[in-house]
Amino acid sequence: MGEHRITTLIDQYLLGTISPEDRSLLEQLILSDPSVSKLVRESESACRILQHEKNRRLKEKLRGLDKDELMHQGVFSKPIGWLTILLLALIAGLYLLAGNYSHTSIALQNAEAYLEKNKNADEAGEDVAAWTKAQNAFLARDFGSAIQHYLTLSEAPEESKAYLAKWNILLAQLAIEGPTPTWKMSLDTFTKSAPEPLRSKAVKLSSLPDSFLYRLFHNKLHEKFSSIKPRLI
Amino acid sequence: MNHLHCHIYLRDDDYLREIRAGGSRAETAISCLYLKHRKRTYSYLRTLISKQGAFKGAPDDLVHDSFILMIEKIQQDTAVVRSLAGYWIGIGKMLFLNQLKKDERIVLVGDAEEKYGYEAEHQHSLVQDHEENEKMEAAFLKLGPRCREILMLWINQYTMLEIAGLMPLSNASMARKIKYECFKKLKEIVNSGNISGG
Repeated sequence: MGEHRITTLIDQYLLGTISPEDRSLLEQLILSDPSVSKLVRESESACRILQHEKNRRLKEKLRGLDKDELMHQGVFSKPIGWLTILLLALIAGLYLLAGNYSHTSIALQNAEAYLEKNKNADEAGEDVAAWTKAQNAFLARDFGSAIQHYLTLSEAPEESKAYLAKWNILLAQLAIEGPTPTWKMSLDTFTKSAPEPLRSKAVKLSSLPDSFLYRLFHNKLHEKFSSIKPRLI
Repeated sequence: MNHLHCHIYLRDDDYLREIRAGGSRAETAISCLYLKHRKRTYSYLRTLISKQGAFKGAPDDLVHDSFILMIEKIQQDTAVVRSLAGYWIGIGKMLFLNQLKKDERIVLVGDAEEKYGYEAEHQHSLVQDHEENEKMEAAFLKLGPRCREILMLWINQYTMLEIAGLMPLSNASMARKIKYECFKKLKEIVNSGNISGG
């Protein structure tokens, strides 16, 4: 038998693709010819090295596939991941809305800036400075000081200025104490005598504590978030 | 691995046929088969390991080694396979138990659990002779890159025509000739280095 044929048989034997007939033939050759037997032994040893390298490479490939799968199975590929994100977004939205219905936010949203409304008025420098101080204290959330400044301004002879100062005092009181019965009575009194557009604003503000959204976001959620926040910090 | 290509293998028979075909067909099927059953196998073998605290091997190694052994068995056409997932788990379990027995940590009693078509009489083990492995790797590295590439393609059962296309070589005869020379060189390295390869 030629060398090429023997080599082919050994290759097929090593790869496990040899037919039963060829296997018998090769086994006979191994038994009868010591040189073939030696060749097969040597080929088997060399083939084990290749098999070892093949397995090593396959193992590396499997590790790579594991890594890929882990990446595919990240948080976004699982419904629970999306649900968590939606839940967090919902909580964040509720938190913002609850913050929007806080007394401070309501006060700041409804505050009336004297200077912007009276750009063309020819005012004395001192008067403007007093309004600026009061407004700055209000915007800095120093509502106590703001009330002190506005109290002085509320005694102004000009009615519109006085009402503007009173309105801001009411808002500052709301920010400090919330809608207490005394504050509600003060607001009612203010509503009856105030000029437009302050009257409309006052009416709207007086109905706010009874509204559904205020009760939901302020009374229920804002207090809960307020208690959670320090714990989270 | 492109996951989109895996849907063509629906049944175990498809995987067996492709893996036995060798070459690039086998490589794709092997990756797909691994991805198809890895989760289940990991889960089973992790549970097995957690029940036996004395086992110090890693689940990853157990999963990978059992998969590689399964592929070898399939390619050698010696396996009677009822379910590939069960076969893989069975080999993993066998490796796990052999490892425990080897370490003499447990005395095995009759196990009435499910059979997967691959029982523990085979003496494969996770523990390998690291010195021998290093020798084999060193011997392989003594070959040039071209020889390493052609021999790896050959052992992965690529046809000579495919090898000629991939290398690239002029034709299949040239590929066969180069493979012959490279394999001869490897045999010489083995003979000179006293490597048993086993």
